[in-house]
Amino acid sequence: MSTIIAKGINKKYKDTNALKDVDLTVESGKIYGMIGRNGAGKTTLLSILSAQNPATSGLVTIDGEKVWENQKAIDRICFSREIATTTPFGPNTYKIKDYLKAAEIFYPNWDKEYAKNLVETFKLNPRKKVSKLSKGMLSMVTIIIALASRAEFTFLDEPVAGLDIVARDQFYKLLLKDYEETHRTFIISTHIIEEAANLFEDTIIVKNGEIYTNENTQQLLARVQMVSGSAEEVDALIAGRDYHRVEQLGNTKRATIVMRPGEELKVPETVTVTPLSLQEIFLAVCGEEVEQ
Amino acid sequence: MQENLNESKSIYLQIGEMIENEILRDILKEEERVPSTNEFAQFYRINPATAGKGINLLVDEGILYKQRGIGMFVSKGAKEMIRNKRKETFVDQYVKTMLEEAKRLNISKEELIAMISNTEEDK
Amino acid sequence: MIKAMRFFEREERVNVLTMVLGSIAMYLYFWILFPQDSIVGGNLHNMYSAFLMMIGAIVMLSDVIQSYSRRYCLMISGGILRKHVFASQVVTQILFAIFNTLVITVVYLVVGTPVTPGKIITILGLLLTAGGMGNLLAVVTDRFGRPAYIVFILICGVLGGMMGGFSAAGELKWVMHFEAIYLFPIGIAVLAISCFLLHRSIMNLEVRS
Repeated sequence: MSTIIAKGINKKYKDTNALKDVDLTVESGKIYGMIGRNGAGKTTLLSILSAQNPATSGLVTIDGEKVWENQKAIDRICFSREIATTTPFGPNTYKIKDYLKAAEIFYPNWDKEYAKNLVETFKLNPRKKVSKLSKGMLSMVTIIIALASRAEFTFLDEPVAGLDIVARDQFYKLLLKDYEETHRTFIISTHIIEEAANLFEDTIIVKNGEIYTNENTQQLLARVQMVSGSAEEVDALIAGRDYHRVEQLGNTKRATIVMRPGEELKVPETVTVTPLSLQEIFLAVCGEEVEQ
Repeated sequence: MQENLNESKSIYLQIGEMIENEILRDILKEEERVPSTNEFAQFYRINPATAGKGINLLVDEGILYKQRGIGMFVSKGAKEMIRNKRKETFVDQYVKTMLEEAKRLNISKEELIAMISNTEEDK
Repeated sequence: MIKAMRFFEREERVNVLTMVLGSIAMYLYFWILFPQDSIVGGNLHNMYSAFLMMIGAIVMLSDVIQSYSRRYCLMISGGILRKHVFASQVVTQILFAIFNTLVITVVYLVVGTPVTPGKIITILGLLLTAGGMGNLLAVVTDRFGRPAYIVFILICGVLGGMMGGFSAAGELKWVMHFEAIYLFPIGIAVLAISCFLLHRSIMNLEVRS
């Protein structure tokens, strides 16, 4: 089994700390979901994991080998980025086929036939300039590059952001089909958590430039639950625990409790325990700054 | 497989239950091949590892059995096994909840039994 | 590095095309503009190589800006090492300058203009200077934005104009004594300095999208 390991990653831009001492292990053969608010550091983290951008400090290795400026290591990774329609010097004049041709040069495992099929599946015209594409079509191009790269580790940054529900469903199906055939590693960042949650074997939550958790999705779902009952009972339950999103209505209180892995919650009969969806967990864990 | 997945329960438990329902309804017969993990995964758009966990749960219980290189099959007597298992949880899942609600409504046990025997079963 | 060169080879096709078509277009433009019996019109064959050189120099001057605006980010995110991005850029520049010089030489030979090694080296020097200036222009623009681009062009223009003016007035002796062949070492020097800055800039480039 192969692993990408990031250790002590910091990334400082002029006046912000985009990543703070991030440690992360990515194991081969899994589909990871990466979720986090806008500006949490998802794209920055993916670009550092794939050695596209330098970290201010810290080290990324793949099977023990440094990734930065290491061709052998980088050849195993594909981070298909969002395509910019404009450049600092005017509109991006590349056509879709230019991107595909470049990808063919860049990725050692590029599957030309597969790429061609995908272009047809998404009904794209390869002669179109990327500056003339809709947001959805741009997403499709990034998806095609990611899938046809056949890279051992493939990262996708919000691949479904511009897609309608039909195309999103198409993508999920393509992804699972590809995964069945190749069993390669995917990290997929997304804001559309609800429909993609079940695709992710593991979930990485990025919060304010730090990794809140990186664990099996089912385990995460099992250990975060909402309790509701009388204020006294709920207060007693959450005392000394990792809890979030406390809300009160009259004398009824509810809160989201994060348990330790494997821990079971013992509650009085008058308290209701409700399991939460990944989206609700995310809202509880990452939604707090907004409420205050 | 008609049902949709929801969030009230772990996905892999739901996959397991769905296969059980198919067996109880004779849609999946004993000694018949069950769809593969990947087929389940693509049908429900879920991770194969999760689908596999649900199927393995049934293998562990003896409801399904694996035949190396061919796939997964429904065991002989699977239907009976599922019925027995569900009867055990029936008390917890349905009877106890019913009694709790009856208590809150001050319905006596006699009244409850009368209600049950008077309720006509839908055909 | 092979991947990087293959990428540049594709990208530079447009530039070669620009050079050939651009010079032909200029030729035709002058051909229409000046009658056959005028001085310019009669010398048009000899001027074609000058057109080639001009267009080539302009291409080299503006090409690195193109690289900055789209090629580098695409290459780095496609898994090309930064050092290879840099190296392939410089190699491409030098190859383009040599290719352009060769084409000009061939044109000289075809038209029957006498060719000396000194002349060829001078042309190469001029093109390399253009390439180096292009690198500097791109680095400065990337670092300080569009205003820097305009300022850079203005400074070059003013300097060039002043030199031309002074030399015409006989004020600046060294400009008059300046031998064309010095362009070669100057080209190498400008290219070397610009490469140092270009390398630093590429190694620190922040890939956004």
